[in-house]
Amino acid sequence: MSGVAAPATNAIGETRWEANLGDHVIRLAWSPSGDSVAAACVEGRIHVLSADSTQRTRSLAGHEHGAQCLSWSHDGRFLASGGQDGRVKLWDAASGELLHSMDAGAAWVEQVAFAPAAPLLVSAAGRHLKLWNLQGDCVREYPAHPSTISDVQWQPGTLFFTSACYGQLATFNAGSAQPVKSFGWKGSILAVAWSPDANYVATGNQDASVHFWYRKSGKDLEMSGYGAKVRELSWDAGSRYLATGGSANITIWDCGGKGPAGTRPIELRKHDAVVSALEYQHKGELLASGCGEGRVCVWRPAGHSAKQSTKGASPLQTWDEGAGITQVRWAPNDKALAISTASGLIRLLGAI
Amino acid sequence: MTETIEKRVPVTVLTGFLGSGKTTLLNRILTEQHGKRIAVIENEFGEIGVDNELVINAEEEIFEMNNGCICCTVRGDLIRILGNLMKRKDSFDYIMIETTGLADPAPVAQTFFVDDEMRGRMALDGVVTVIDARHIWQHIDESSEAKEQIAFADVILLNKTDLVPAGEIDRLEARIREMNLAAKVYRTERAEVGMDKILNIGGFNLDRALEVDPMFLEPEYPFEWAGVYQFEAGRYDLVMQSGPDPTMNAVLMPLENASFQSLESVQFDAVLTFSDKEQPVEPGGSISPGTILHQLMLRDGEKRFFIDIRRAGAYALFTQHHPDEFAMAIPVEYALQKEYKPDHEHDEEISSVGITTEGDVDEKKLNKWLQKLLSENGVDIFRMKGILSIAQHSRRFVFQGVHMLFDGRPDREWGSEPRHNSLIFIGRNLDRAGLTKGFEQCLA
Repeated sequence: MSGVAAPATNAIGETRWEANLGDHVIRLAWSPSGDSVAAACVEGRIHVLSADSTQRTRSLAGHEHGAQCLSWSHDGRFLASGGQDGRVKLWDAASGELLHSMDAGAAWVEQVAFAPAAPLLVSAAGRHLKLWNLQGDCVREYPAHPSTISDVQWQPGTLFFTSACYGQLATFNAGSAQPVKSFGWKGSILAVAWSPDANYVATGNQDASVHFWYRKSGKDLEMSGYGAKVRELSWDAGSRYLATGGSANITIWDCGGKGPAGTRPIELRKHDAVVSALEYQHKGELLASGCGEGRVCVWRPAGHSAKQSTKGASPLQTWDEGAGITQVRWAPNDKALAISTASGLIRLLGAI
Repeated sequence: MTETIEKRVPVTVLTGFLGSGKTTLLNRILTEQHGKRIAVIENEFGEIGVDNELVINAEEEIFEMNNGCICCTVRGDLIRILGNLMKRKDSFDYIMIETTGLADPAPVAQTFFVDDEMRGRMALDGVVTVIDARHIWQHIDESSEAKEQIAFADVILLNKTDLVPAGEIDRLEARIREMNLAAKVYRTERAEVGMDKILNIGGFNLDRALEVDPMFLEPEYPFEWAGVYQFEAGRYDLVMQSGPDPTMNAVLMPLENASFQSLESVQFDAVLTFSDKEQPVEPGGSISPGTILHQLMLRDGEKRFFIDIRRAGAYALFTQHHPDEFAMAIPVEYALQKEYKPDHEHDEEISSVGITTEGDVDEKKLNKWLQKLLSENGVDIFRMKGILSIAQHSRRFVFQGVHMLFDGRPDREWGSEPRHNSLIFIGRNLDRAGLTKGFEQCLA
């Protein structure tokens, strides 16, 4: 993709490379080592690009009718993908060979997620939730959910994972088909985010709200008043701040002290369109964001109090990609940032 | 009201009971050589015999929000699937959504107003309801789904008309019109209809409806009944008994032939004639054809009048009350008849209220009124559409709504066309006088 001004440098450095995949990038995922970035495209292809300047690209056959989701195994040896062919595919990340193709139970596989520290993979397709091992065997099939599963996230540092659908949030493990815990809520949950310390689980919802649950007490809070449905959620490394989209402004809730109830959130204003991608660094305090009209921003929001929210909170770095931003992803070491767009661009910035 | 430029992908929602002919129509749309790329979302298994179009099967998922307020209920399956479709390079020119026979059309329609992503990329073009003319009578009174599918429609296909006598179809169409005056009704066999009648109709295009039927926004007829007679030249007796009223107004209009079409073509003249000054006719007096409003004097017992016909042919007798109330007798049987039910008898039913006025509306007053109206009565107002003449704007403003939600935009310039406002509400327990008065107070 040419004609895009190179981002001004300061916070994270210059463009290392850019690639044009020619198709809307729906998901982007760094390998655990930070050596590669995998990209899933709407029309079905999956690409694995090396993060170094050689920019070697391997293209995998992917999924007929479209790819939807991606996940790296914790050791970086396997890549899992799901798509509109109803299959979960397990790939050898080094060779690109298809190792196993599994039936996820419905036409669209919305989510695949490897466990953070175990050779287990969970998939969600329609109302079906399945757990797989690296041999492609279904370890467990859970009872059909009451509606289509929108998201599945592993609880950090555990062998539990949490699924969301209209009406409920439920946590499962490999040991039992029944949820070990579930929270009912009458609404459509779109995205789930566990805080890194696993004390909170937050959801972004269709009805333009964000919901928090305290894991131990089961107490919950709801933050409403967003302009649009909320799908972008990201916790900072300290599990104190939750950054949320759902508007052109980024809204950050401070869960420190007595929690976010009744507090005024920090608002970051620079985007002109609804925020479409959002991620805090894994250990650092920078926040990257992108919006539907192509602007990317890198912020250092922790220093801003709610009082300063309307002025003074300007991004450290911002530029325009000319096409909607679909993903912003920090490298595992936080030193590089990968971004992707609806027109198929992937840009990698910073050191590796 | 914000200005939007129409570059969104049009969406047609196809509703109707199982077996009404929905799938036949869908197949027809897909096989027609229109050069358009159409994506179809099906909630009901039907035999679609086309490979080159994208057909996605989905399970209906109703998402309630805000404590189950029906106006905020949307379809999660559509949001998910259409959200994904919009990301593809090979974008679609048209999207068809085929709902199940028992689906409530409101959440489907509301999805395109409530969800920000859908609202920006797609626009509801129209709701097309296919009705099995043979079997609808089994449902029309009992089934709220059938009523809602009729009330929500922009276009209604009375299908399988080849299997039903014409008189019954007239009765059905009259019944449907009582519920939804804004819909275009087409009579079809095997769902055969021109694509231009159902695609790209622009949900708020009232113009065509107004052109075809001047009675469109004036559904209350001043007469309750019309009978079509084949008269020879000469004098006929007309005998009436005393009834609930001491007088009855009547108009006799010549027709081209004894058909419903011909009857309909003089309806408007009959309405105008009924607003003329009454010409009293005492017993023994005569009724003659033309635009004369006769007032038959009916006090005390049997009364005899005459009908004087100079030229043989078909004639329509319009009567203020139903003639059965007066045991009316004419020596010739009518060839066909039509009942015009006054609107006030259907307060509990689904009905339409049309408002047409000259003059400009004040945008602020209108917004305020609509906001209040919809927050109080949005649950009962199923559809709302209109063309407005807003003060200080040179272009027409067109809008449509579903329950509490609405979508509007400036349309073409008024130009030489007389500025006016036409709007219509379709819903349950509508207060005609209140709506009319409320709107009139918004005039600048």
